[in-house]
Amino acid sequence: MRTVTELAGTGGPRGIFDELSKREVRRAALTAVAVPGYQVPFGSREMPVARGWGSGGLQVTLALVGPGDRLKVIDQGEDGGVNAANLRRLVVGHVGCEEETDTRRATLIQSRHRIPETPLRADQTLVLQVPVPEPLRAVEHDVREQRRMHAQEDYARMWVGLYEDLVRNGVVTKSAGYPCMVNGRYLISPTPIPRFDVPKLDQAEHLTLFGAGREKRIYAVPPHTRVEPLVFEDVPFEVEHTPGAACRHCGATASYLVEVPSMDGAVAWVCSDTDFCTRNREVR
Amino acid sequence: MTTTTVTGAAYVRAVTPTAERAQADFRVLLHVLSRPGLLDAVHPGNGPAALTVAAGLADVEVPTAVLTGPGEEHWARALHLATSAPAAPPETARMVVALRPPAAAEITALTRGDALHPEFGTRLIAAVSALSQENEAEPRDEHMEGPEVVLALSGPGVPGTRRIRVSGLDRAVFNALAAANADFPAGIDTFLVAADGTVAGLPRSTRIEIENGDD
Ligand SMILES: [Zn+2]
Repeated sequence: MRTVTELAGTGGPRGIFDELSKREVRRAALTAVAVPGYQVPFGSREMPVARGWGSGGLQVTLALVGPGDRLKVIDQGEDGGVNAANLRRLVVGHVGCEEETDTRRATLIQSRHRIPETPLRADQTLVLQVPVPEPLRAVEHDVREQRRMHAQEDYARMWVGLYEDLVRNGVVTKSAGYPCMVNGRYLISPTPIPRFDVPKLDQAEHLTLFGAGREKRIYAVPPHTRVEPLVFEDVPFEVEHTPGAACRHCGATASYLVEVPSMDGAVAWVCSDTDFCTRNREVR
Repeated sequence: MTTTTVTGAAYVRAVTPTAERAQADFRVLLHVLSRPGLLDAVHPGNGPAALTVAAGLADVEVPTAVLTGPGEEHWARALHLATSAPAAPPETARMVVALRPPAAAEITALTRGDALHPEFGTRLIAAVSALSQENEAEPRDEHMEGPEVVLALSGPGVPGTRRIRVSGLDRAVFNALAAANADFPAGIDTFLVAADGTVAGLPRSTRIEIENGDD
């Protein structure tokens, strides 16, 4: 192990994440894969990252990563953000793997808000950082009752909550972390990814692991697994899309676009996925 | 006495993976458990491959049972020494390593957890003689020695159906496993590990159908 403490500024003599911690996360991750969508408890460790910035995702990444990996880390859709760059360097310093920004070449991708636009393959693993893993928290605060509801597949109150939202607002307003059923059995929150990215989890080629550090939970969506947003039959699931919007850099209209301030006061849009946008510009 | 100690230490070394190897093997396990019916390989070590897989996952928090045949008991001791995993009877162990073929009744007796605590389901690492991919159900190769079954697998991680041929475990074991996993999310998560390090994952979410084999 190299001088991780220099990079992290903390961590103790065994570095930021010792072998025993890795083993525990590995066992939890295997159980999570075997019970798709179930939130497997694990003994989360204190990590040298800011609260809310991915200690759960970081622990999963550190349990997975090896010297042969090419690691991509994105914050929103950006590789270049300060948080993403710091986290990437932290892991690279820990294990000696390669830094990567090109989605196509990455073997391991850690993200919080987005799933890359470029479809992921079977040889790539996505780690999502989860601030709030429990989808039932919106309708039930008692943790034991949440566990009972998951155990008995009793999601009636979640449906009631969605219905009330619909009646009140005319649409289901939930955007990030839209509740989904995994393999027809477990309700999950797919973390703050937009609705736009939810279909990328359904029958995917890649494995997705979700890590929640504060709540000490790991859950998984294996490849080739059904992921279905909770929707009423007569109200179709719709992803975010603004008619007429196009990326001002690459012209994309089908990517996930975010609004940016522009000098003349008009609304401008850019791709949230900067790697995709860069390559899309080269194609044009 | 001295001889015994030295030999014991050699066995312990043989089953102790380095941190790098434990990491690489874990990625293989994650890959095959996510994709039931696909085969991959862990690093061949100096001990039984199934035991090295277990040694990469076990520690003091994992009560473990090692089922050994006659003359194999030293491998069980080596695993406990190498990992500090406490010895436990199979029916209460969190991880069970079957170096010899388990009886169907032993599979049936394993802890499965329950809907409130699926994570208490046993992790079973079973040694087999050989594993191979199978494109479709074929009649049994009469030249094979010992039991051989073809498993048709479906469920999460499998587009449609995948088939594998397993040598060294008879169909009663897989019948027992399928029955134990009928009450999802309770169940047993299995890795089949061939002597050459080839490994397959059978998570409890997988539907197992046996297409041939001896009763
Ligand atoms: Zn763009």
